[in-house]
Formats: sequence, C-alpha cells, structure tokens
Amino acid sequence: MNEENIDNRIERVIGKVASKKEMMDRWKRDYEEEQSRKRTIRKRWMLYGIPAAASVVVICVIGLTVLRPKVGSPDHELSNVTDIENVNYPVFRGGESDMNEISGLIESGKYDEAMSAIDSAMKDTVIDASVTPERREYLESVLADRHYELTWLKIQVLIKIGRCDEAKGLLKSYIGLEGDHKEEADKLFKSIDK
Amino acid sequence: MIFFRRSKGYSDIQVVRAYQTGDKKVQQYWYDACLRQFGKGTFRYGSLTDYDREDLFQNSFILLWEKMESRQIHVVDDTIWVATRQGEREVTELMAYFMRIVKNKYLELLRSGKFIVEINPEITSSGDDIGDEFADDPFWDEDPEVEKDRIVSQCLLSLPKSCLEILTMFYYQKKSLEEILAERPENTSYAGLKSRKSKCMANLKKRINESFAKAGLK
Repeated sequence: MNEENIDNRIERVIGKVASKKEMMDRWKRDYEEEQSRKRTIRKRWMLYGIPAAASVVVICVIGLTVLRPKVGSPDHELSNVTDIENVNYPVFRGGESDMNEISGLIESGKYDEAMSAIDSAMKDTVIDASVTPERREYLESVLADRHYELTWLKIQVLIKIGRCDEAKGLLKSYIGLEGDHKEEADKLFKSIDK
Repeated sequence: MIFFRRSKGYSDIQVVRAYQTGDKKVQQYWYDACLRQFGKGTFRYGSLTDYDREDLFQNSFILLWEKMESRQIHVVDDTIWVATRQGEREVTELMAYFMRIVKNKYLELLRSGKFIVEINPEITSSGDDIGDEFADDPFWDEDPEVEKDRIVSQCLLSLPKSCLEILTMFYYQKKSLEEILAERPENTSYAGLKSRKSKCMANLKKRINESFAKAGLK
C-alpha cells in the first residue's frame, strides 16, 4: 500500500472524525445543560411552586371562611333578611319596620290590626344564644327601647278603641319609666284618671 | 415555566437528509434522541465502564453518521434504504437501526474484550440476534473509497483514548508537539510525546492494513 496515500487518508479521516466528535461534544453539553435546566425548574416547582399554589388555595379558603357571614353574627343579621326568615330559631329583627307598620295601621284607623301587630311584636323578644355577651347586652337594650315604644303605641290604641281601663293600667307603670314619652304619658294618665 | 415545551420532532427522512445536507438543528435533535434512547437501554450494556459506554455510543453514532453522510443510507420515494452487499434494504425505523449498530458493537466488544473493527461477516453472524442489517459487513460501502474511509474511521476510534487525543491535536488542530506537551501533563517529555505519537500512528496503520486485507481492499 502506498504509504503516502494512507497518511493522507489518515489525516483526512482524523479531520472528519474529530470534527464530528467536536460537534457531538457540543451537542452533549447542550443536552446536559437542558436536562440540568429542566431538573432545576422541576426542583423549583416542587420547592416553591407547589407550596405557593397551596398557599393561594389556603388563603382563598380562609378568606371565604372569614368574609362569608356566619349565622347569628351581626353581619349575618344585617345581610339578606330572607335568609333569616328561613331559619327555625327566633332572630331579632330590629323592629323599625314593625313600628312603621303599626303606626301606619293606627293612622289608617285599623286599630284591631294594629293591636294584633303590637302584641305580635311584643312577643318577638328571643335573642339567639350564640351571640356574644356584648351583642346580647346591646340587643337587650334595643328590645327594651322597642318594648317602651310598643307599649306607648298600645296605650294609644287601647284608648282609641275605648279600652281605657286597660290603657290606664299600662299607663300607671309606664309613667314610672324614663323615656321620650314620659311627659306625654303623665298628662295622659292624669286626664284618664279624672 | 411549569410546562416543558416539547421540542419539535423530525421524521426519519428529515434526519437522513439533514446528515446529508448539514442541517445542524436536525442533526442535534437526532443526537439528543439517540442519546436518550441509548441511555434507556444502558442496563443491557453491563460490564462496561462509563468510559466504554460513552465510547460505545460515540462510535456507533459516528458510524451511523458516516453511513448517512456517504449516502449508504439514503431516501428514495419517501422511503429510507440502506445499501448492502446483497442489495438495497429498507430501513423502516432509523432509531431501531441505530440501536442495532450499538448492539452489534457491544457484542463485538464482549467477544474481543476491546473495540475492534470487524470486517468478516462470519463474526457478526454468530447466532446472536443482531438483525438482518448486520448479516453483511457493517462498514461495507459500494464505493471502495468510502469503505476505506469508514474502516480508517473505525480503526481510529478503536485506538486508546490518549492516542486519539494526540493524533487529533496534531493532525486536526494542527498543534505542534510542544503545544501538545504543554496541554497534556501526562506526557512528561518532548521525546516521550514524540515516541508516543509515532507508536499510535504505527498501531493505527497496522490495524488499517489488517482491516483492509480482511475486506479485500488494497
């Protein structure tokens, strides 16, 4: 075999093989970098992504739990009244709408209906046992004010329908109470008592 | 960030053409695919060191590369064919063909205890499940010049790593012996390096001559 030819062939093939190996080394480095990058991303996702996603879920759950009004809480009472009406336990309604209704009936001369409404409103005195002590104290004071007002309305209705003796009986204890209608109640009692 | 973007896949036909036209992007894609596939099957290549395993992959990949580059593996009418001594054969799946190359080289390694250039088809058809493609010479090409180059290439790859490095630095990178000496601390003297290079070349030529003789080439 021609030695020169083989030397030339060897040199040429060395060049071809070496250039291929160079390229393969570069591809291998790129491949390993890509695999390492993917492992890092996977690791970061496991380390940060999943806890972060879990935290978001927990925050949402807590937020919904906190923001959603609880039954029996003041916020719940201030929320949709129709919800309140569907529960079985008695709930303090506030009373202003009752007063307006009763006043309207009295002004319309519907004294029987007014009396019925007054009696019904006066029975509505149950406070939910789950309220806080502070809330209970507040509601009891509201109930007391309401009772004071309802009693005054009842007295007026009793007089209007001619049940003056009953009115007098109520007035006798009523004038002992401090309130907006004390002065009027005194005058009325004195006029009935004559 | 969370979702890994799938890299675009290429068909076997696109891969073969890429190695003929020099499309680096597709070439790299195929390299990655082969590396992944090779990695999946490495349990089959027991008793190999990491270095031998890396050599096994590199030598197999370069052989496949050369076959595609020289158009021994080529595309006709959207079908891949490989030219063999017995005639054209269809390659239905390029990855399977590559893994057969790997398997064949591994079996050669086990039989001989080292990488050798096997030209004699009797050795490759020892009854092992090698596959039809290797009933013929794995290095055969209808062009004798291409076949000689392939034999030289495989003989080169069968050399010890240090020989391959020295010859590559000298002939491919065009470095002087002094520069090679400076970069290779394992070579302690100029004379030692010169002697080592000469021995490597002599070894390579010996292997080439033996292989040419077996293949009936001059």
